[in-house]
Amino acid sequence: MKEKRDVEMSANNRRDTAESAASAKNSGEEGEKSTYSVPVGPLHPALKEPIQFQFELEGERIVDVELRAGYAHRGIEFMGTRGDRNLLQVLYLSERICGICSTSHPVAFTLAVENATGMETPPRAQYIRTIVAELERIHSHILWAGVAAHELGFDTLLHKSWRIREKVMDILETLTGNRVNYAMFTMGGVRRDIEESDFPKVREALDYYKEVFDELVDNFLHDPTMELRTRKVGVLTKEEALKLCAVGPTARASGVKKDVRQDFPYLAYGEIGVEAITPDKFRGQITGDAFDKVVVRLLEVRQSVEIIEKCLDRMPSGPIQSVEKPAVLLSQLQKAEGEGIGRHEAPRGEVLHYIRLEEGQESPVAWKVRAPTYANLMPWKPMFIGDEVADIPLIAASIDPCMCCMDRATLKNWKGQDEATLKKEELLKLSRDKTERLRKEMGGGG
Amino acid sequence: MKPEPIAERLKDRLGKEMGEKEIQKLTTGVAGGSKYVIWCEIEPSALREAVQALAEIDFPHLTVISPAAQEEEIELIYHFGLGYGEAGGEVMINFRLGLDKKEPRISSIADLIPGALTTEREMTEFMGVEFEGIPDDSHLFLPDDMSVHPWRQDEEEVEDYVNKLDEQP
Repeated sequence: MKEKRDVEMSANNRRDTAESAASAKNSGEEGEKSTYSVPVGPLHPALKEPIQFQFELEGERIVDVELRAGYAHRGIEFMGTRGDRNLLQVLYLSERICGICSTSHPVAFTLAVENATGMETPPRAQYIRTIVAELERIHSHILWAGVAAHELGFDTLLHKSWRIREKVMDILETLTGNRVNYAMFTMGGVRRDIEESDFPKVREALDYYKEVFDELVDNFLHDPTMELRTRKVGVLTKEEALKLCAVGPTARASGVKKDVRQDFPYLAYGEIGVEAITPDKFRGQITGDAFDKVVVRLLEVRQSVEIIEKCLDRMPSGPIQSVEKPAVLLSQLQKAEGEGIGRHEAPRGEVLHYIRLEEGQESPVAWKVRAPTYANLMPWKPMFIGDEVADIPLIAASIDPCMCCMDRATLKNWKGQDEATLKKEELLKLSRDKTERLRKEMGGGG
Repeated sequence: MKPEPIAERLKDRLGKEMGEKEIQKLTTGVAGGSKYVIWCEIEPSALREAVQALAEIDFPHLTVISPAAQEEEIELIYHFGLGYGEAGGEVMINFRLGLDKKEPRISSIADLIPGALTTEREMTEFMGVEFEGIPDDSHLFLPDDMSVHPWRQDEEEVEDYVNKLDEQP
């Protein structure tokens, strides 16, 4: 019993201990504990992306972290503005910025061009775009939930949630022809229509998700080990989220009600009405930890199901593109001049595209892409400080980073060895061992 | 939030340091409602005053700094958002400012908005802009030893870094 109380109390004292340790290090006094630094990266154990962390540790506690990104930097904006691509080719380039959020960048890009040129989009196309964007949100959140379970050692839950996710991937394949990279979007509309004959299949999938939602909530949110492992881990306070300009579920889990679909409506969201989801809708309190992030993402899955249903009910008839032939579209865009911004709420947060077009030029003069993880890089730092090495995979995954693949950690002075290289499996094992240890302390066992 | 009071406040605070201003009205998609984007041109020296004017209304959300043009001078656009939380109530404010091409320098706003550090570091390494007072100007996305600025269109060494896969070696 005493051990369990110590575990709970230490969670509250984490921040205070870390702050005093950091200040001791900075003051450089003799006889104080010194920290040692652990680089983790650039290939990463959580959510398959390359990013380099440099952790300063005191014992097992993290007191400081620095990060370096850019390992998946491919120079996409450079390629888009060199002058040898027309706008449709730049659109294809924007689709390939990210594999999981492959709808988000084309949506923001087409919105930016449409705002810059004043191009109209027919209502049916807006609804189809909304449906594809919400289907993507469902698949991305369930994928993330499975990976979070995997980091904690619940592989059965990983396989179960990814099996549940297969239904939405099948629907995406039926509607768009592909499971990833849909190529549905174009300036002024969408490229493929949704047939009336496909509606029953979509409704059947939505009913399936409504049935299975309670099971997911049970497994993720009512499981005591899950709660113990994620509560008070990776806390981001509301003030930090505001000051560091956090976006998406990372900000909403801290109580900041920012959602582009609510604040700056576009596509069909203005008509349907979307409210930003914060964790108090589940249990009436907001902590800003990893548990709250799971809450926000699961509740957003249910919200997306409701939005798609409303879209299907209200789908208007009519054309799906304002300009049908690509050659005509390109010649119209070549004559256009202006600048515009397009904002979209991707599964990870706000995406912004800025574009500037000049008359007579096929390719854009300026193009800037701002992905959501870019804004969530700085909030990572206060989330890590105060927590343990074994929590690194979970905290890294909790903002749902979108960069790219795997890693090993090099530690100095780890367990008496001068230098040791821990492979991905070993860092993951630390995380899973902590889960087992907490379960035994809880007295659960199974 | 309505855009006119914000624009008025900026005009009062900046006076002559603010140039052209335009309030662009966009539709909220199918619903046909309105949302607003303010585009305004300001002097680089007025940036901090402008951010403080926005902060009096609500804590501004800096999305990103875009490098917009590079002909006679380097043009940067700061994209701010103000007024989250109410349906359809956010106004985007874009500040356009021009920096000298040979020595682009502007004061950092990382002390007013800590989240601005990422985008300022990106501008430092990609465009060579110097931010006065920036707490940390080390490279974030590019290797430490890379001194070429990839987004500057007048730098010829950038071509050495481009991988031309379609040309046979």
